[in-house]
Amino acid sequence: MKVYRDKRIIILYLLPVLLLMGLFVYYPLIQSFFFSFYKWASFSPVKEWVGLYNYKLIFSDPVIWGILKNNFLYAFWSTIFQAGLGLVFAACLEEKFMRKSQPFFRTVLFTPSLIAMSVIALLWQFMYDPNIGMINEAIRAIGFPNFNEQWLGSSQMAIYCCIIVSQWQYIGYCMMLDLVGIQKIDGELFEAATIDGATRPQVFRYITFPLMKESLLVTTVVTILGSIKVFTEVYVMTVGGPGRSSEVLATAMYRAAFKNDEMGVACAYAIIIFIFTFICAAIQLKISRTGED
Amino acid sequence: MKNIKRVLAVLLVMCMAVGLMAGCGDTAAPSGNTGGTSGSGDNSAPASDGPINMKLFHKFPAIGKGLDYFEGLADDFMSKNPNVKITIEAVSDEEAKSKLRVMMGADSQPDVYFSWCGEFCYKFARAGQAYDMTDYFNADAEWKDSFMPSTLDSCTLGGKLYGIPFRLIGKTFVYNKALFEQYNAKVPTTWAELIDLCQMFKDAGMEPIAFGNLYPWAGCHYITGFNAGCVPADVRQKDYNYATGEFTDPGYVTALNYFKELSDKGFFNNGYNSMIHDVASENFKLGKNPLFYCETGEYGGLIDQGMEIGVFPMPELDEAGDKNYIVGAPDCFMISSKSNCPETGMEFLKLLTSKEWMEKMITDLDYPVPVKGVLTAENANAPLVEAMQYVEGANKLINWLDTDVHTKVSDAYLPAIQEMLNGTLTPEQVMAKVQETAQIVKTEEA
Repeated sequence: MKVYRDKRIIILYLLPVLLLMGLFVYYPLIQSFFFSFYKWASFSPVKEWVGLYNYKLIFSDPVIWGILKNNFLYAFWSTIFQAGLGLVFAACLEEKFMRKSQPFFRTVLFTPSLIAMSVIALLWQFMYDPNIGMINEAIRAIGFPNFNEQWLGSSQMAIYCCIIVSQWQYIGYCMMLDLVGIQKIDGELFEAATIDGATRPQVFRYITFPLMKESLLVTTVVTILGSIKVFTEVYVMTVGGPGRSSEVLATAMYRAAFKNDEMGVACAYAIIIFIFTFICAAIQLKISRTGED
Repeated sequence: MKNIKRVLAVLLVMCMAVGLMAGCGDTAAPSGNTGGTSGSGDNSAPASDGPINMKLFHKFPAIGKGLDYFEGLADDFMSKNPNVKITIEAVSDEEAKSKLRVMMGADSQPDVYFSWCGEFCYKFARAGQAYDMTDYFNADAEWKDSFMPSTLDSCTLGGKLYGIPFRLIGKTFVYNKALFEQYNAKVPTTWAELIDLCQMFKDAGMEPIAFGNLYPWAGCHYITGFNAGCVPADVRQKDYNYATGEFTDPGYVTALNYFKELSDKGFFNNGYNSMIHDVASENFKLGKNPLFYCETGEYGGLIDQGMEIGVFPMPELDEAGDKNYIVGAPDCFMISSKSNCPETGMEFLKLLTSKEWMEKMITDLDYPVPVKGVLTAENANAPLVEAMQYVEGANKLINWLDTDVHTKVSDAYLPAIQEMLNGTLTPEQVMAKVQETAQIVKTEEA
């Protein structure tokens, strides 16, 4: 196709999307960067230049370390469960003895990721209720009549409760991505390994896992990026509380913008989130060398 | 041939761009409800003869709790002013706080909008987003004199009126009369009696007070009252002003200790920090808790299934603060300074606060009103009449802490209270956080 050799035509085709991306992604991003150096409220007619004050304010507040810790915990457990366990589930479902029941488990595990997070968060909020919630009731029913964990009301437990909900929702999604990856692996490799006497864990360790590295990298990066941007489940279930114990970067940004009337601080949070996500995406591109093959 | 291809390519790109742009076009339909009927009346707007589009924003999205009331009010106003078309947008309580800010910033201000009184209202006034109602209001002496004077103070900044109060909310304890009779309990008049009463119910195997503090404004209402009782009024006034606030008076810690006492003694229901206020309200209705600290505007929902409730105010504290006060404040409507029809908005608010619509607010919504002589034993439910006697007999109304102090101070205070109730912070540590934030705010605003 000669048309693809003409760079001007290519640029012309790309122009609409570049324009829109520029208008709705890059322009707001640059604008946020500049606005993060001002003190202003969304309804205030004046913007006051404060330099790096908003960043200083964020990093001088001890709460930020709790926030970063929560995001880190989110990323850590999400990587273990969504990227790691998702791959294990996918490998299990690809086993011969699971082939017949694979569609059933695939559907069961994937369905939660189709439901809106706000709905899921509300459902789990009821489940975590210390008085009538299913979780405490179930634990009491199996022989612990005085069990009374506060879950979302506990400063120590609240963030883990939110993390569990995310794992429950997205583990099936990552599993589906891995399943597609495993199905692309040449079946002869598995066959040869089995003939050579490899056990199932050895097949997973020496064939599935190495050949799934690329796919695993994608799910890991997607998961980590999601963990940096996480908002809905935390906001719906705990509003960042009790206190600020389950606060994450995105809820802190929301709090600054729409509760404290500090749009400059909110923009600074947005830039921090962008920097973290950008670094993760850059590492992913570097490791996977996307486009070089 | 080559040129034709290029022309086609350019055309294709243009079509794609236009298509995408069209997708981003403004197809916004009114998010609220509009409607109108013809008729005639007295509240005609003094505006021009041309069509007037007025946007109304409020925080009563539930049917039976305000949505239909404001639709009816808008219909009535439009029937009296055929050239006016009112578009209504209603969102819930929490959403209203953030949405208003966004609308103001996005230059899509509603003409007439709901606001809490005190600092929440004042910050819009300071930012030049609120219409100065003083002259228009003073011009109608009869309308002006119809209000309880104290309710107007909460919407006045620097001698200028920025809001018209339409609902008067007080905070009292309500109690389940059947449970009180069953346990032969008496209404407490002192703090010690309240503690004894709660202990008695606790010993009987109940959780005495229904409390849902997931959204910490519920706890904030307790602290509003305790602060008023423990901190001298002049000190409190100085501290609540962001320009002079220090929060160093020991009364603030004492206030937190009163609240902590209720929690430490196990008088609140289990899991209150993960429970929303509405669930606590339902638990009270189900008879799980004999006491509930709630707003006068909530009584209607508590008695709608025949439950009998009584009312008593938070007992006075033997401390250095105010005596004979009630926690509460009016809610108001403000008008945007950028509105094209402020006078129409004022006439609309005049209709809202007319005797007819104030009576309707009492009968339909069970909300007490700030207009004098409208609420009577005939048109209001018994607990509301009882509560209004306390409100009218009180020396002063104490505005909600979270809307009375600077938002940043409130945002440090309320979550810290949650943590104190969880045992992760002491009252002294809570106040240290508040003092630190107050200092930051003072420096920033200076």
